[in-house]
Amino acid sequence: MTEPVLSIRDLSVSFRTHTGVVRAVDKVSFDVYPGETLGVVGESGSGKSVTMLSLLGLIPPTARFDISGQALFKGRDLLQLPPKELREIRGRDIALVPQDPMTCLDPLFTVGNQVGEAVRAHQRMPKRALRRRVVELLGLVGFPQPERQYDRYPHQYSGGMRQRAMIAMGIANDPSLIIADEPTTALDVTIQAQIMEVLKAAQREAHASLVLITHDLGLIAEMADRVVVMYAGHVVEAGRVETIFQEPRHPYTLGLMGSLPQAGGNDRWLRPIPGTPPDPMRPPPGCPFHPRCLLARGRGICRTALPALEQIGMADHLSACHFRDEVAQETPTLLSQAAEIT
Amino acid sequence: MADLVVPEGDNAVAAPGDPSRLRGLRTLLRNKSAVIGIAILLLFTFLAVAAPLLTPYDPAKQALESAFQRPSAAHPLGTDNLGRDILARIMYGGRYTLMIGILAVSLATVVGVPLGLVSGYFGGWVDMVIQRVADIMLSFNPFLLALLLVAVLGVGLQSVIIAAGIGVVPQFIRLARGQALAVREEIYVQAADSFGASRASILWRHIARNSLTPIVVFATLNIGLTILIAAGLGFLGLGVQPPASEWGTMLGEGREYIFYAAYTSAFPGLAIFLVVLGFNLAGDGLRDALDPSLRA
Repeated sequence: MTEPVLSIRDLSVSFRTHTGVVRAVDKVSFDVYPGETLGVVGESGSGKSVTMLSLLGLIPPTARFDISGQALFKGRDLLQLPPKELREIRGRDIALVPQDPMTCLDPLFTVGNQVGEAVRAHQRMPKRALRRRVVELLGLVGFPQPERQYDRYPHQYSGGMRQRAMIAMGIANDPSLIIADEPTTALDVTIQAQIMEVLKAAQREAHASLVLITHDLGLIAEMADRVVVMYAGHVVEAGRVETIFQEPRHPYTLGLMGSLPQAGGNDRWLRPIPGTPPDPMRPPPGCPFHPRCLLARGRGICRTALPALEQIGMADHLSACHFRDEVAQETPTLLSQAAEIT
Repeated sequence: MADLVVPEGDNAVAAPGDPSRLRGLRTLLRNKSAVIGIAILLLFTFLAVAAPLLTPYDPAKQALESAFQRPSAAHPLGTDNLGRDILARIMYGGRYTLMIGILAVSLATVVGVPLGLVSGYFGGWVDMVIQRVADIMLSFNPFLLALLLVAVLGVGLQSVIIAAGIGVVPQFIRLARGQALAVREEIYVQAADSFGASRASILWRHIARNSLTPIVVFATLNIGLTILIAAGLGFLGLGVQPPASEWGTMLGEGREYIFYAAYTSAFPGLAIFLVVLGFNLAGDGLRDALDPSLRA
């Protein structure tokens, strides 16, 4: 296989708070390959956003935190770079499309001006060339009359339009990696599909890899080539999207599937995962998922040992479960048990 | 690309020619006290500028034979101990007062605001140093601080402007720092950070401009304060020197005759009161007009 664009190894991020240390990300490792779309799934607080923000040095400076591990991007460890060099990489090599487009644009400047700011952050060019480039970018993200949109202010834009503008800013410098952090969460369902189309087109245009952070499995199924499933700061399963959806090998992934509504399915009830995610301040010993896991059945090893992320049969399918082989045969039972609990 | 096109409905969010700027002006003009304040200021500005056309008297020329005349048709506000027309002196003196107020506050803004913004945005040891200096300055009353500066700089118009301006600098530092701290947390600042804009450009483009509204209001309100400081210095004989007819200086000169000819100090005092009131009313109105959260 080709060299990965981004290679994360044993990344841990912990926050020091007044009441104790929170391990938000715990020894996470995964790769992002050129041109692919990698979905990072997990519920709120699973560490998926913190993982990506910590790479870019974008964790608010007011937070007290410790990072360890390695994140190789084009042969350089992002975690070791001084802030100034990281700033040069941000937006030029790695772009971030934010979660909430409503507040991402400064109300005092025209949208064109702000997209221009993104270009100018990394390229010097004369005013007229800059304007031409911005208009071109606005056209790329699907504005029908980009020239007219240039001089408008953010308050004249709808949420979807603002997200398009943010994507235009993201691809302004042809990055090799785009990180989209829940890019459609704040938008209407009808706009979501359009925005994902724009994001895909932008990715193609820039020949970039896309890391799509989301809790929406539907989006993952549509967009991603590979998936990383995170739970309580750990990667619990990773693999190609078809594999993950057809043959999940971790009870948490299975639980996520079970809690999805299915169009035309004959099941009347959704099957939520019982319980709630662990308190990050006091993670359970052993496997972080065992208190909610239907496969653990009180077995000692789940409570005492953290399962390693290991390969299963097929290439690049990884699961962190002591009983990963049981998941397959027990899938129907597990799903029906979940149904009974609810 | 056809499916990527923004649908028409999405396009028509706001009509062109957005009236939000006019709305601010209208709110200001609907505010009665603000209009009164602005009217007072316009009146005094007019009197100061057009003084040579409005009065035949020279504000500095002594006419001892007509000293201490009570208000009359010839001298509407009377004459002082040296026979100078008080109305003329107040009109010409307005030039000093308005100039001192505006220049001193400009100085305070130009010095204090950048320091405060840098302090709030960068934080760390820069913030630490700037804030401790501001703390020390704040521990003095603004007037006392101005008094100290005059002691160092000597008397005169220039010193008064610098002294009154520096006297209110720490308040500007604090206000700008607070603004920077708030704006720094805005998502658009984080977004600019995420696409690698430099800190200097974020500070100048986003932090500074979004902090401006309360600073403008605060500056307007502070013109009144600096005028009072300057007048206080003048009253003590440490401000603009006679024969200049700065109002505080006039007040100080009239003090000696307050039981004999109260009008020699009453009218300059009234002028100071009115102009300070004018700036405060205008400042309050400006705040109401510019702060959307106070808008009904």
